Amino acid sequence: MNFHTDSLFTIAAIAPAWPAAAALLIGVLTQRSRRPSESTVVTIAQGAIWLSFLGVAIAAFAYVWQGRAPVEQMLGHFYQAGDYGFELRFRLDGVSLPICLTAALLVLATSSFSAHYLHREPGFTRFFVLMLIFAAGIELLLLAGSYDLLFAGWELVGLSSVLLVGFFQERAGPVRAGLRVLVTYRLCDIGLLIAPILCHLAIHTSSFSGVQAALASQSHALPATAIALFLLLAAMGKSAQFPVGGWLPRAMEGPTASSAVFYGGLSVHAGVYLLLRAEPLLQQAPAARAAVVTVGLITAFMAGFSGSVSGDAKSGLAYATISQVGLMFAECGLGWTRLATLHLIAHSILRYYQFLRVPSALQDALAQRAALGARMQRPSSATWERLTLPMQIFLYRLAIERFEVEATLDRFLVRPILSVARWLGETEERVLEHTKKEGTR
Amino acid sequence: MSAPELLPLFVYLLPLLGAALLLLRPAMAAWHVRQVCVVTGLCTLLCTLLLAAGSSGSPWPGAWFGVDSLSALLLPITAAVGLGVLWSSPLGELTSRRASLSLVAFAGVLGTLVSLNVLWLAAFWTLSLLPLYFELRRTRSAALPSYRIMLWLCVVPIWGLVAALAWPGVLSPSAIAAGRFDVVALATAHAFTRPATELWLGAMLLVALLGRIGCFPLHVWMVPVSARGPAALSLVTYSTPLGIFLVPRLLLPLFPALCQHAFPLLLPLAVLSALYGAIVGLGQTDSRRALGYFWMSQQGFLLAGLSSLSVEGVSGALLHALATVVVRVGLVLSVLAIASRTGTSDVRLLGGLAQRAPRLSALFLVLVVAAIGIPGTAGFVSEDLIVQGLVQHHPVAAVLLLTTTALNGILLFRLHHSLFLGIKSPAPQAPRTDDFPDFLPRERWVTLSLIGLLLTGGLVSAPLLAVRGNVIRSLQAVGAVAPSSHESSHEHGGG
Repeated sequence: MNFHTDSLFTIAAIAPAWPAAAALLIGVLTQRSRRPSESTVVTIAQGAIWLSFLGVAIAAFAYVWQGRAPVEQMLGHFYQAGDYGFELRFRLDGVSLPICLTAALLVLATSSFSAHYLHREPGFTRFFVLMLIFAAGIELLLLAGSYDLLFAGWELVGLSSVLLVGFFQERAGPVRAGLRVLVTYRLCDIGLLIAPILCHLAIHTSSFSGVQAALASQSHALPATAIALFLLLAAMGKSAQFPVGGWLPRAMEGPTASSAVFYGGLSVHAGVYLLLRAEPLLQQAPAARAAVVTVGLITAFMAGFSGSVSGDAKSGLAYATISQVGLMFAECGLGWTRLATLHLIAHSILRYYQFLRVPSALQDALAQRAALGARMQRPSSATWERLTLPMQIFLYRLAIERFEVEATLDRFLVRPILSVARWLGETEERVLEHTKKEGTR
Repeated sequence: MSAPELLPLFVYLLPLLGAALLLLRPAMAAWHVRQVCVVTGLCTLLCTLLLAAGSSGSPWPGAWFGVDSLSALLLPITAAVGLGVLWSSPLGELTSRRASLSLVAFAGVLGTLVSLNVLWLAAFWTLSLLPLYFELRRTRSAALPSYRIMLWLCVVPIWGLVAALAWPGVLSPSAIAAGRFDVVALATAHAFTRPATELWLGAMLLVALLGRIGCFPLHVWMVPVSARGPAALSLVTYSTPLGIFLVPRLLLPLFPALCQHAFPLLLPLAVLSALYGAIVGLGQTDSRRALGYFWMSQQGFLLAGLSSLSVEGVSGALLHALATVVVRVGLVLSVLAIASRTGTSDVRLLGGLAQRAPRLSALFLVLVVAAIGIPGTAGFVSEDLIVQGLVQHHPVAAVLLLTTTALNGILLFRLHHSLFLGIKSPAPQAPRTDDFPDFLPRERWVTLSLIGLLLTGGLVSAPLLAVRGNVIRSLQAVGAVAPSSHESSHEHGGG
């Protein structure tokens, strides 16, 4: 690799920094007594997103130019103490670059769309700040060369997603939905926190190349199955897989543009990308692969079923997305990584478009009906009509209640923890009151 | 005395002067009380900045007061946070008496930081705790009995150490020659003649540490003080990381052998504190109580980092001490701003405030994000270092602490959602929020400064860690902190 190609890859590695800097700049401007105008916000945001997109595009060009060999770009250490240093290590290869290019393109399209779609909305500036944080996060996640750096991007994606679900903050529904997304993300992200720790414990690095080399040489006892299972937990949360996938249909409370780019296009595919990155680990861990396939197939079945009884277009699309992502999980588990990569890119573009069209769904349906001159029958309706009425009712209830998965988790996990928390707090208060009474006597 | 030797005196004399002025004028209007506090705080901050800028990292030999690598960074940040607290506290909190007590506590905290003499350190340590005690006693607070126990636990051991140092035969002749109460000299000499004395004194100081940081089960004073205590005074008193400061200042240098044995035993307690605070915090409906439990959880995190006795863990803990103080002060000041405007801190009676106060909501959210250690903030760096410090020898503790960070995230986001988002509480006793004012410029700039500190610590953490590197090296020199494997292999190869 010569000097020029090296510089081109460095430009790609700093691509996430542009949207992050723009978000910070807009955030500072909002604190002045005179708030920035919509045009100022759009100019700053689109400038940063264009720079970011061009950086990734140039790197993709350089990657193809120099023979499609994977590149590791190390920009130094973010911080160091003792033996440990947080490496700013990026990996540009046939998985990260095409997906990142797609992501940068979708974010660019979203910024143009939203500038008109959200014109004069009260949360205009907030939306752009969150979208920029998301852009920085997803690019960092996709270009990261280690699990540590990937986690940094993962957190930014999660944060912006949660805040965009609750974008319409004056309504109770979106706020509750945002909180549910947050709880799912935070609990499942523990998997992505523990997995790098296990890597550091065994081989003192969490870089993808380091893990791959350790697995190839087998000189270290790397607990591949445990690491892969923890990564699966994180992937399940972010990609709304069984049994923690209940948040995605609720996440449709956000603005159309964010639903398109986050839950149709990019955010929901982050789990699949994580599994693609964990491919060397999965190859060494048959049990984890079986778990990935099982989770994926169960999710695909359940989401497909629930989607067929969904009452609104956005939720129907959300279930369809979950179902397809489940299939991508199964592909990753079976080792079909190239198929999964292609599936991911194609699916994210298709869903992105579909989510953007959702507000016009009724108009589209009417136009179709007018053109065909008759009511179109959905294929799923015909399947339902073949069943007996009691069976239809039973299955309908099961599907509409999302197979009672969330209710079960609430009953056996969330409520007991909250009850214990309240009981401990109240006990402490009672003890203090008692001590005070004793003291006054 | 030369100017560099005199300057540390002003660090605590200025707040004491301000306190005396307020005590002489008990009927002063709240607005003037705030002016006195702000002027005093600004002058003190200026002194600490001059001291930090002029610090060479090693104080004058034999000096009673001075600034070294440990206090160089802590001193201006503590002064800035104290100034922020006094400046942006609601006027209702700033009676002449309370403000003067806050300034006395402020002087005690800063005096402890600049003390290089055990006698003075004990005096200022005690001074930092007493004002809150007197205020709790005057108001007959429910927190008084537990705070009284904490006071004894914190004060008696440190005066016990002073008495032991003064007692004939306790110190070795070399330590007496170097300086009987000199912290720096005692650290470099083999201070104690008998191991048993060293063991008892060290154990007593450990108890003082656990009491001050509010480690489980000694945390019972912390939550009621946080929820019902006088806000500005309690923030000045116990939001400053004096308990943690005691570890690298006295415990590790004077009792390295004890720490090597005792700190790993403290690790389960630290993890329990972190988990307990996070879980119980989830069940709270009062925002101030919830923040009290969050603070307890963070203290457990800090103690876990110190207990690792590794370079990464101790570096992370020292940085986390600063980050959590800044975050907590910002969060508590925001909650106080809400409580002073609505008359309640009960989240069941609030909600939907973001529509009336978008800036308050946005800045609170940024503080929440910083508190849970999102990348780009100081909390991310410090939590990562603490976990890395624990990974090699205590992986289970590391995993449990990571669970704690997840729970704390849920706790704080839930708090933000309950206070600011959704619709206003329909409860009949809910306060009117139609004319709820947003952050005032004064409150906004204080909070923005705190956020600036957190972002600076997160984005350019290398210089902060480099300053703390000197502390780690001095602790390694006395054998209190294990050398990194790189250094040990280098030394091994060289030898």
